[in-house]
Amino acid sequence: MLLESLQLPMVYGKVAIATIALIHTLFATFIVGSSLIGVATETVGWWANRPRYDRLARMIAFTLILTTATVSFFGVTLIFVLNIFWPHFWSTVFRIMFWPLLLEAAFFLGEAVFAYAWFYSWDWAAGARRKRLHLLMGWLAAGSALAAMMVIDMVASYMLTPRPPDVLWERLFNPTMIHLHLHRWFGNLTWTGFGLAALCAIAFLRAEGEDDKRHYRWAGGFCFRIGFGALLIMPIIGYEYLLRVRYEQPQAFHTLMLGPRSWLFDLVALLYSLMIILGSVYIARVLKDVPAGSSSRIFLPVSIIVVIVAGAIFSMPYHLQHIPLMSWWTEAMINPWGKMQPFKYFAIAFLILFGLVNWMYLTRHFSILSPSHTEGPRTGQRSAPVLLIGLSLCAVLSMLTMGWVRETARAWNGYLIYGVMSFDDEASHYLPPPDRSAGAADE
Amino acid sequence: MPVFDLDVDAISFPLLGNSLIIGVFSLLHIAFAALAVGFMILAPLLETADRLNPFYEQISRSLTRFTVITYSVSTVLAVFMVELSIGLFPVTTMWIWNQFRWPILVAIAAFLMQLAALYPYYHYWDALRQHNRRTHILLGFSAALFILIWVAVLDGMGSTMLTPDTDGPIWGRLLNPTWIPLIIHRFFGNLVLAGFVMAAYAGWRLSKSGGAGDDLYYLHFLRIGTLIGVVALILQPMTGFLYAVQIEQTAPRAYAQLTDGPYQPLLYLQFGLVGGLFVGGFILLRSMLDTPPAPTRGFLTALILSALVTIFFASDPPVRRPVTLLLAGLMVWSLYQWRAAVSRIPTEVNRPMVCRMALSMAAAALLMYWTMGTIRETARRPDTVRGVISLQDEARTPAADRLSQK
Repeated sequence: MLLESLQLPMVYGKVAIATIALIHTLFATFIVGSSLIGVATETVGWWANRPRYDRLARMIAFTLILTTATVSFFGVTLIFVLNIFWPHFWSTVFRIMFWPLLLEAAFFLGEAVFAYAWFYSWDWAAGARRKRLHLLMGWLAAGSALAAMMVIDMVASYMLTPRPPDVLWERLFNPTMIHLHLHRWFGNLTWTGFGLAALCAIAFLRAEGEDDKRHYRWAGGFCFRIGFGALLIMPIIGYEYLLRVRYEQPQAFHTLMLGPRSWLFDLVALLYSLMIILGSVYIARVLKDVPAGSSSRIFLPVSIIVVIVAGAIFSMPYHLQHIPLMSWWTEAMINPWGKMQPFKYFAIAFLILFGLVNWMYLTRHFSILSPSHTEGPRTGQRSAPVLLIGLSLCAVLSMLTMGWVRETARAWNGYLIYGVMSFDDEASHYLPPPDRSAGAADE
Repeated sequence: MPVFDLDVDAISFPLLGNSLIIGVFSLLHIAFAALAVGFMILAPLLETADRLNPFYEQISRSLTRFTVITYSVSTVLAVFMVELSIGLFPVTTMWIWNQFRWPILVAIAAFLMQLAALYPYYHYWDALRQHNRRTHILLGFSAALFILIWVAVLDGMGSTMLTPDTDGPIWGRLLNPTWIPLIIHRFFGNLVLAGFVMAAYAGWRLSKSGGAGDDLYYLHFLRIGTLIGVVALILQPMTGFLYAVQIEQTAPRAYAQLTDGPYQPLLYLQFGLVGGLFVGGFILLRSMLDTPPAPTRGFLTALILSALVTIFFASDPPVRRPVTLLLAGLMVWSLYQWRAAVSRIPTEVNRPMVCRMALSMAAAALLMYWTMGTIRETARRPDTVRGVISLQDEARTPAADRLSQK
């Protein structure tokens, strides 16, 4: 055999690839989100002539530069470990997706070139005419990052819902591609929004001057609104995505929803609920000082109670049946607790609805028309930034868990490419070399 | 669940062909990578010498800025190269990764450490220097050390493709006969390129400035860049000799293919560039002197004659090698004379001439780097790994089966 045996248990390869892939994904999604949020922020600042937007956009561009370098490193590392640990799978999937993957690399090259040009030409682009060119560079970076993500989503979705390799169109736009892509679009905005808000929160806590504090307080709230807004849309797209998985790969769907890996889905639900709850508490903290007659002073406390209850129901595992007396609730013939139908659907509806109203209160507070806009939220001097950091941690965990959920839907059923390539195809690569002395004795 | 076969035909890259497209991206990548490695080595060295010349700190910072800005572009070009290799030459690629699986993991760790050192080194330059200059310099040296570990492992893979040693333990494969010579040769090759590119940049800035405030800085930049390029160039015939002898002894057929085979023109091109760099380096050094030492014309004639002999006898190593060493010797003597005649503070130079000369030197250095890379790769043909995997092995399908059937 040409390839030497690794002489390792396969779990080593699984852990190495999963670790690198998850870290890479975390940074890659941040790049997509931060390029988009950064250039949109700069555009708004230029259009509305508000320097604080420009300052925030520059900070976002700096994080983009750092993450671009990091993601290119982890991208190379991922290719390395795939080559080493799953050579058959990787050479096969790479040849099936050869042109799309080359295109993805081209888009990433475009992202790197434009992002670096965008950041390093900031001072140069002070004049109005240059500023337009500068914005163009930013939008080209964001467009390239989005296009690169779309191609990667084609490859990732193909692994769960593959189609025969002879028709390019079917390979690329396989049944779950669009749903995965949309889900990641908003997932990226959520995680990046919360991630940037956390960075602003840290900067706020470290800031010494009042100007800096005011800026980072405002910037944290601005990024939070993007993250929280995108978070509210996630379940709707997620529902469509799972529905598609259910029709295309029912076995994988069952693994996640009621099967051995359903606890992961419950973990996602728990993290989602936590983000809505923490976000609502943050909004309540920020709006604490609004005038006495405002409806938000009545609505927000009630809303927090509602989202806590809804979150508890939504993240309730059906394994609760193992708790004494709980089986009365979970084993009911009709509408048992712990299953989606109907209580979890109600719960997620409440989470979205109340979260949306909370978000609208905050947005109105931040609105350009509002006089408080220039000052930004004043209350919650320390607790609000801490909440933002907590939200960011939940977003990181949520991204990692969702990535794991998608991959485990295949992996638990033994597949690398669902239905057509299994872990057994790589098993020979991990086996120790044959014992020659035993062979000689047989002869 | 749909059931179908995942086999796909071997991919042929349109117009350019499989080998050429990988060659194009490899050459593009190594242009950035060689500069990055060279600059990462030079930056902390120059920073350490900032007390001898305060401009060196500024030069060091400029070099690091270039490295940081081109970092991702260089990495993505490497991704292109690797992806094309996986898609177009899957058997070779999987084999080489498999052979070096553990050294690669060490290289990845070194690369990560380099990243962790390089970014704070550049982005917190002033803050770290104010806090502790030594710590900052140490960070720069750490980045250089880690990138050299990375380069050493990649050189191990590259040299194995020409002189494979597959029988021993995994780590022993790094120690194939041409590994160390290749590391040394590329190390100084990186410095040649880095030095002349520095000189070219400074020359270009001087030609554009027309007497503006930064002129003295760029004069220092030009001088140190030229010096680095020339000193590294002087060493290259020795390191190249070491490398060539190892190839000749270990893979005589591959070596003969270069000296007498279809790729002979590449050898002539390479020594044409070597000769050109020596002569150009001499002229560039002299152009920085107000009063060049007396025998300039005679010295130049001797250099040109030696360079011509080197070129004409490129495919005849017994004649060419001593003359190339003579060329290096003449350059050492020239450098010695230059050192005695040069003023401490750089004076005005003939800007248009220096700019043209320095740009030509940088272009020649890059072309030489590319030619040497191409020579090394073509020496293996028609094998992709000499004596182990051939181009014919790659042409069979499907890829996954080939890996296990071989």
